[in-house]
Amino acid sequence: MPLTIKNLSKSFRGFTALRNVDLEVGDGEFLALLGPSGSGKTTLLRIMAGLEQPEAGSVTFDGEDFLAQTPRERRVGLVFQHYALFRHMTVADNIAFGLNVRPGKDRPSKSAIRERVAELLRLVQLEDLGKRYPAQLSGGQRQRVALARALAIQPRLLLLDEPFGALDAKVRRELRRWLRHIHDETGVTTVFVTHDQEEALDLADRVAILKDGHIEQVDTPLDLYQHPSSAFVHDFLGGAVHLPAKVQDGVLTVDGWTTDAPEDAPAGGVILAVRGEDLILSEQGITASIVTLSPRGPRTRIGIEIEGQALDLERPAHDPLSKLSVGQTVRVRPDLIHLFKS
Amino acid sequence: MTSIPLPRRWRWKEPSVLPGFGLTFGFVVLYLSLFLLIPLAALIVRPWELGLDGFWRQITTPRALSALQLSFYTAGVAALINAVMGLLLAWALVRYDFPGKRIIDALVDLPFALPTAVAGIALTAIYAPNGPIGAWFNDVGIRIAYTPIGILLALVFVGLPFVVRSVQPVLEDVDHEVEEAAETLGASPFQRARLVILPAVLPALISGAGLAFARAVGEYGSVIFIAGNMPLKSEIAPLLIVIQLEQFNYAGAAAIGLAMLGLSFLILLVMNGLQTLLLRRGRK
Amino acid sequence: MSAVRRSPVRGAAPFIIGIGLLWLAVIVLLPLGMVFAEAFRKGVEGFLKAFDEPDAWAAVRLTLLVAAISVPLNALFGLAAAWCVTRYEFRGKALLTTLIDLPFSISPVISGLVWVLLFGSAGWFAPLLDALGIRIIFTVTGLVLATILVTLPFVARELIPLMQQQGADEELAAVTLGAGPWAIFSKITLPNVRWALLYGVLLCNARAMGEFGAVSVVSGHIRGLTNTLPLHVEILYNEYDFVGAFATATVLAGLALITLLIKSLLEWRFADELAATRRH
Repeated sequence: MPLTIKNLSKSFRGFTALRNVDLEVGDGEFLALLGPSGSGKTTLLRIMAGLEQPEAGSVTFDGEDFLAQTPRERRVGLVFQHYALFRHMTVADNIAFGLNVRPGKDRPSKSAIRERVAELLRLVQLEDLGKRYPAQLSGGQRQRVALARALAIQPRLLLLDEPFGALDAKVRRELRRWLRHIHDETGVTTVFVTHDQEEALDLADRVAILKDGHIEQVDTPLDLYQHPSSAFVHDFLGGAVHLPAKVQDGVLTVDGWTTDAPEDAPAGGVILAVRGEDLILSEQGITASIVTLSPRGPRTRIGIEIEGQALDLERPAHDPLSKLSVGQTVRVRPDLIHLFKS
Repeated sequence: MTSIPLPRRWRWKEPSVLPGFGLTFGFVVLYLSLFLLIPLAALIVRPWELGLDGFWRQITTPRALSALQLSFYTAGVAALINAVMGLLLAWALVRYDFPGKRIIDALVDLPFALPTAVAGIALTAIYAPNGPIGAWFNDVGIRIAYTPIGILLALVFVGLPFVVRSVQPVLEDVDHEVEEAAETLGASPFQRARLVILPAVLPALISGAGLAFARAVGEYGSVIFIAGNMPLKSEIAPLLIVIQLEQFNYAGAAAIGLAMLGLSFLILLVMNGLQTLLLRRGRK
Repeated sequence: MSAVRRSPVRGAAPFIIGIGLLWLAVIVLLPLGMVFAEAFRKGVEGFLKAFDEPDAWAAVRLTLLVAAISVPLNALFGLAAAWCVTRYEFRGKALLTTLIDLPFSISPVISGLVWVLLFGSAGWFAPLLDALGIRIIFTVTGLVLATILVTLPFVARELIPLMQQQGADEELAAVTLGAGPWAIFSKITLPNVRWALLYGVLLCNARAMGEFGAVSVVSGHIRGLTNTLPLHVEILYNEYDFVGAFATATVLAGLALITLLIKSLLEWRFADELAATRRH
């Protein structure tokens, strides 16, 4: 594994930002750091970039001790959340900056730099905008300039902090696909931070989920979805309700309804986590009341309440759930069961 | 995974990858020490050469008392006048458009830019008994130059920009929707000004008046020409410091200086507290 | 923002504008006009006569010299202070910022007095200075010291809010791209604050050249040697050479008007690049 992080800890003024974080990122991998705000994901990214120093732990890259190196020696490309483009420089000068500030002997010739800039402008599809200033660009264009600037130094590792955070929904979706395309083309190992689970699952090879400064789980999107390791991960990847339940002698009891418990289920008091999309209308099951029903063409959005917890589901118009009416109380059962220790 | 809480280490400075902290911080501390702290230390320490008694005697002679009183009193009145007229001027500049507004706006800063001695001799020439305006007042028996009224006039001049420049940006930011909301709720124009706008600008108004006051208390150049400088009548505290120095009474000069500084900080502290109180109330 | 701002007190417009303008005219414009009127009271010839004196030119040179030393020093201080205060988190920052602003609330006379307390004939360092044969009070050094103290905050207080608002992200981006300290300062920070720096230098210079109270205390009023322009004005005035005093004053008034002009141009042209708190 080229990037290996071990036992990393960091605090700011008594506030613990990261606690005993372990993480490995593979060569050419596209990894997402996903978590709510304050979970430490940006701090972790900034430590990789060399902008913050941890109090404890190690960060190595291809066997080199990253923490002993300056940001310059690390050769890491970082795209800032608000891009941090140099406001008084043209787009071309922004992209060329990392090459221009190299010490004399390592600096490419002027014409080589020009060529490299033109190449990068093509890559990010901004061929004609090299002479513009950042203030004259749209949000999506700025984002692409920031990426080109980070790529100019041929980074060994590309880091992106909330790359789509400041963009509107439509541009966001376009850029997302495009970023994946750039990654596949350049093959550079990439880590990006996001709080948007859809973005992380859609884009990344693997997703690391952070909570309160430590990593809850690292897995492929599919594994995370199917085998969440904690109620938090389960909840974070799509709205869910958590119900107190009991497992005894291989039987799960919840809200007066009993069913066979999964084989690996812990015994005693547990939490049953249920996602909206796993619910089926049934004779036997958990009590749910219909709070809202809004048909939207082919699909219907249904708001239900289970034990005081609200849950939104979406069903095709012909689904039995879509044909209920507001105020009705029904029984539902999950066809996929996740149990966590309470 | 085990999770041990990190030790809460006390840190003087958060680490940063940006270079130059040692260099700039060292330079700043050295510079402030040489040009501000050591000189101020002299001001704070030297009066006590006279002992507590001597210090007290220096600042309570009738001449010193009257000078301090005159400086603080005229500065206070000038700050009040500037608060009222500055608010009005800021209002005119923010709320209305009229020809030459930009030039007028730029001219508000003239008292900042015009050397005080120049302002002093010009004001004296205007308001002296034989000056163009002074002559009118002289005819009706009012003397302006060489009396406390003249001092007040000079202090109003130097303090004029402070209130305008403090209030202007706040007035520009007053939320028009709030004003319009008040209008739809049936508030009269006067009620809207009093209930919506005044509370919003009041903290800035107080802060601007505080700055004008601090400037006026210590003002020297624009005042000494027009003041007349009669001991017990029209002699300001800064002038008394200069006179003490000319008589090589260093400790006496420092005593009056320290008293001035202490008093103005006390007053500014109260005004700051008032401002904080108003701001806090505004946030609730 | 619409061209005409709405006012809740619409009918009062002419009244408020009228009073405001009249006040500004009486308090500010009248003294300015008076300077020029008095300077030309005895015609152009009388005006020019004031500049025949070698002492007047000595005063001009001294004023320029004092500003040429104190303004760059305070500009350097302003840059260092702004970098230090806006780019790092450390304890005691609030105290440091307060100290930087402190000279604004000190009387100019006190700013002169403190140097006399240190270096005057009965000052703390008088024995040392005597032993070394150095004089500070009643010399150009004293004028420079007093001027530095009075104008110390001018550049720093323009740069600090601006750099605070711009944030450190651009400099951090430069670090990740491999820029060294000098490249960060000269290619990122300096270009980003250049207009605010110029603005601060302009105001600092105006005050340095026009300062009266502080330099008056340390100058000793030695004609041709320690008389700056404002002090020269005072001497002529006290000698009842009113035309000479006002003629000399027109130079300072001209300086003030040029300062205001450049200041306004900077404000109109580079509003975004000057700090939001640029207004005093």
